[in-house]
Amino acid sequence: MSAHSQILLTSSEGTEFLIDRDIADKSMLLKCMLEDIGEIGQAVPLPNVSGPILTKVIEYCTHHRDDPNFLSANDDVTADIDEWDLEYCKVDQGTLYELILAANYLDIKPLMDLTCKTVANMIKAKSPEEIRKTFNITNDFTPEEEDQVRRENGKDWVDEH
Amino acid sequence: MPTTSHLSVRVHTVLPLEILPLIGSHLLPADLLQCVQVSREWNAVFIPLLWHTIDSDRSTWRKILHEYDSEHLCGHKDEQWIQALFNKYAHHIRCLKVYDRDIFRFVGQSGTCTRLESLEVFELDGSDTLKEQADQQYNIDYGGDVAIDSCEDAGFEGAVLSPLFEGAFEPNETRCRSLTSQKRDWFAHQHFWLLALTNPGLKFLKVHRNLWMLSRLKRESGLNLKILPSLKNLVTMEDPFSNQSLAVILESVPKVRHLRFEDVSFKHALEVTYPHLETIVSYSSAHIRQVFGVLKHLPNLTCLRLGTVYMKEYEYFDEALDDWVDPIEDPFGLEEARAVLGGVHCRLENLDVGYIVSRADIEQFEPLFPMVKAIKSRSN
Repeated sequence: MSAHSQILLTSSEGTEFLIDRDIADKSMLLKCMLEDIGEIGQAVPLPNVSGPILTKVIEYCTHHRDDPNFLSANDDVTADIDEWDLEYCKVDQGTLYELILAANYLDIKPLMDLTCKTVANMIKAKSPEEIRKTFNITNDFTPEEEDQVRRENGKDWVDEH
Repeated sequence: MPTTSHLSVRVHTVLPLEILPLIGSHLLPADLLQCVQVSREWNAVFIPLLWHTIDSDRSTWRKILHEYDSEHLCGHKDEQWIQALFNKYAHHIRCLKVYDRDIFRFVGQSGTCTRLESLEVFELDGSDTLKEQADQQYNIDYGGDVAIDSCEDAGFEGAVLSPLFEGAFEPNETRCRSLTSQKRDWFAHQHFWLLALTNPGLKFLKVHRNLWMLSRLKRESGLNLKILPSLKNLVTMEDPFSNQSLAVILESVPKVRHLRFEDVSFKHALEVTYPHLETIVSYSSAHIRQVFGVLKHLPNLTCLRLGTVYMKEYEYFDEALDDWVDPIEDPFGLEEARAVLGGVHCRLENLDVGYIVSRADIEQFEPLFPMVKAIKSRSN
């Protein structure tokens, strides 16, 4: 198989994206699919991924195209995010969520880890009320439930940050 | 967020619930504790994540147990509070790392912790409560009587949690270890074995103290040999302080894939083939003949690490002659190696021998393993 072969992808709106095979291979979903059925010369439909999000995903894979450590899982919860990746994640929350879903669907673990870590960083060291504000969530506990949850998981457990 | 005329494009302005579990793995317990208090949906998602891994060395758990342990905060109320928590949530636990013996009791008494995949136990004898530490210091300072001979009066035999443990306990005669402490050890150890029994899904078992000595068992009780075979899904077993015969280990857990033991003795020949074993990491020493005798029965072993390999017999003391004797030179060569393997295709890829006695020995040793790309070894 030629190293320079290209793959055609179609986003949910029907927009076509022509990308190099090695970029497509960053996605385990596409890699396995291409290995299993070969390059059939037709566009691969991605009904779960919109054009703007696919553009963003391709940007990530292109930046990391020659990264030798791309797949060596970084499980360190506290590890810092590198500068380019940090810049890359400076998007509105909606886009960030879409990126997580796309990375999950396309099975691109490093992008999954990066985007999930970015959301996790928005949660860290916040109180429940602060988390609700950040993510626009309504507190739907009854006062009794809230009391119970707080007793079971509250201050008695946690060390000061 | 740009809008689009296509209905198929989903636009999320609130965090989609389906990604919450993915985010959970990037959060530490202290943050997960906040997440469960956010809303009903978040609670449902994060409770299993919060309880997935209980590492009693992590600050949250240590704090709880420390408060419970110190016996001066809420006293008995704390114990009930913790037990109630475990009763309610222990079925979520998949990975349990135990430093505090009390965790065993809470988990055991909950009766619902049956879906463990990983169990790691640190020195159960070593982790004393503050009160015990004080008692023992008192014993050391003032030579307090630790009346081991009154064990039977203290009802040890009555203190078994299952008929399985009948007569298995053997109190240790040490002045520094009070009878009360030993009783608590024994309870924790019984809970350990019961937990192993009720968790047939365990894949990883690590004990930081000789598994075969755990509980200071009477040797003939063979408790481990009764219980380990029930762990049919065990993939990895680690016991950094254990010395045990490979034959005995594999007899108990024939399907285990990775073994890490301080000392795995090759003295007893394997009787049958164990196709599952892939890794042995150990610091034991063995004669080259023993190594090949074992390899013959481990066709899928790809990684072997040993402390020392002897290429020849060394002088030994013959009692009949009352003198040291040099054994007859009987070198082990490639031909004999092939004969021992008897057609078994050895798949060894990584071979790491900490120490081979001499340079001459290394020169004999390396050609025996043509299938291994890089042999790690050193001699003096």
